[in-house]
Amino acid sequence: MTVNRRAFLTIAALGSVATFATASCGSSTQGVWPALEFVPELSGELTRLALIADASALALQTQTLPDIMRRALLGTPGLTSILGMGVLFPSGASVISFLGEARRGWLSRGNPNDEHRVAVATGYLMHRAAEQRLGAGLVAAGIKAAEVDAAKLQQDAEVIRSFMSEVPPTEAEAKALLSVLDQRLRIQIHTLKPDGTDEKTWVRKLLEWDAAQEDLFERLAAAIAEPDTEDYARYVEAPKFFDRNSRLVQAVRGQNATQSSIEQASSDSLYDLGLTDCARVVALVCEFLDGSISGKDLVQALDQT
Amino acid sequence: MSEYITHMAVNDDCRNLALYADTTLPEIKISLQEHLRASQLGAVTSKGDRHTIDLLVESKKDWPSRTAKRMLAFFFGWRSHIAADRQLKTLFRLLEPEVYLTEEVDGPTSISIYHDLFVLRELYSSEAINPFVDNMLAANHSSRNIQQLFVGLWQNSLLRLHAFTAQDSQPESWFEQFLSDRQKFYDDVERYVEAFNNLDNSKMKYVVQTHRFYNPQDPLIRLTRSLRQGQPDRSIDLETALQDAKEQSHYARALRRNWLYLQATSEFWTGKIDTAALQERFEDADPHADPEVFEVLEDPERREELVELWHEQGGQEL
Repeated sequence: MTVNRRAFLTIAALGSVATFATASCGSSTQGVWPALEFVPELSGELTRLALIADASALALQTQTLPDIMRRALLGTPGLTSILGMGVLFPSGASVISFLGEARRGWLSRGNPNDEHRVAVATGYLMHRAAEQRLGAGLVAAGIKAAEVDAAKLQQDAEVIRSFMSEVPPTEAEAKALLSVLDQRLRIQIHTLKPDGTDEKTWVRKLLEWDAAQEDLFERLAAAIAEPDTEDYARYVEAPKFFDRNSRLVQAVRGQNATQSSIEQASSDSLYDLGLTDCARVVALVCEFLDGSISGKDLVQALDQT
Repeated sequence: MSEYITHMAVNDDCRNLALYADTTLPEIKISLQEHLRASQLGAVTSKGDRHTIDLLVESKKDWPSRTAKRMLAFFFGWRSHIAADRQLKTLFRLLEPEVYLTEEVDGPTSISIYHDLFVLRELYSSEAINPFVDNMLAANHSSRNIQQLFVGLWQNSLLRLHAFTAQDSQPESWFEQFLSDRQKFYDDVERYVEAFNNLDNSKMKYVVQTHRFYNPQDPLIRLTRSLRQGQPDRSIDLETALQDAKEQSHYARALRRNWLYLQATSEFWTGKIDTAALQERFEDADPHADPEVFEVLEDPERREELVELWHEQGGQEL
């Protein structure tokens, strides 16, 4: 990954969390939000994807959803969720009008692409809500810009551990698990889709990406199995990133969340708070889709999330 | 449709043959020796018929940079993908006549999964260079939620490699491109795991032997197997084996197809033919299905025989 993108990440995750929020609030009437940009391997994207998956499950279990949102959250059979790909949406300034187009299309003709529109736009807003919550948590814990990569790695590892049995794996076991995952993902891909406009650049970038996965998996395996004690204390415990006994997370993953599960959310776990923030995004988008609130109301409500 | 493991295996065998043959250009040999991973990634990339010649031209232009060598190795793998894909589509039309005549196939059928499992067991059980980890299809691997997270991560990462994600800031045109370029992940690993751990030998026999998917007695295959062991069987004449492969198993025919690509590529590289002639040579070696297969499928009686055989083996349940 390039130095420039890392620099942007640092700014986005720390220095401008407040700016991000301020800019959103200050300019929300124009709907001006910066486009998101993340370095996937080190940006905490795994954490946000887990939050979005859990928040989707929470919304499906606890909210009355219009059909288009239900389908957007469930995804297309045989494909992965478009929701998680919302991070790639190119223009925060246009996301509400983009959703408005989906609403018009859905009401008038039920174009199957409209549920994909809803998914990608809602996903963008969920990524944004998650990053605001998690980024603010880092700032509040006094974590410096230069530490962001290390902090995100520890947090991603904590999320992965939350899907494992209580006995933590050894580093060798974690490596073996990630190696198997790597192979299985490649079988699932079947064939890579090339960029149709510039195959040479695409091949070069693909080779770089492929080589980077080995490094990522090694670092993740080490962080999952035996996190550095100081890093864990500073990046996971101090910001109160994740509550291993969270009733909300247990209920969502057990498919039995209710309104009272939400009320039992841990008020000082960043993950629990991010989860309820993202589920609220879904509820607000639904209100916009059914015409209960305007685009301007949606922007204001999102800024208050 | 041929699958990931088979594509990797065909590429490995094509690469071994190219490295073994005296006639292979030194530029191709050095690229394949130094950039194995590039050729493997090329072997699992689609749409090669649209892009491979442009990539080859770029490689030749940049030679002898490291990028040029990586491009040439990727190009080689990409052509091997086409060789496997085109040849095995012919076979699938015979093995699954109703599927291929009546339905659009999306994701692997059980037959193509069995081909992959056969290749995995037959060709990678004692391989020195093995791209697969031993327990990748173990039944007790309980990481589905984690796997879904990484699917999401990779889906985003792979789409970020496409120029439009950085260049297109217009939501409507971006969305159109997004829908067409996003990477699919077929949700079928559990089917691999299930089949791998509960192998049906009678089904395997139908899938491998009926219509000759793979025959270890084909001279070209005997040669590639010896190359995999690092002990080339020099009693086998490569030219004769390639010639004979035309009438032998589909796997051997796929290797032969790639050899024809390699010959045309060498002529282009040395300036004997231009890109238009190269394109023609590729197309000549590239029919989507053998005419003889269409002849069989268009003959009602012969087609009925195929369908009957297919149903005897379980038909759609296969």
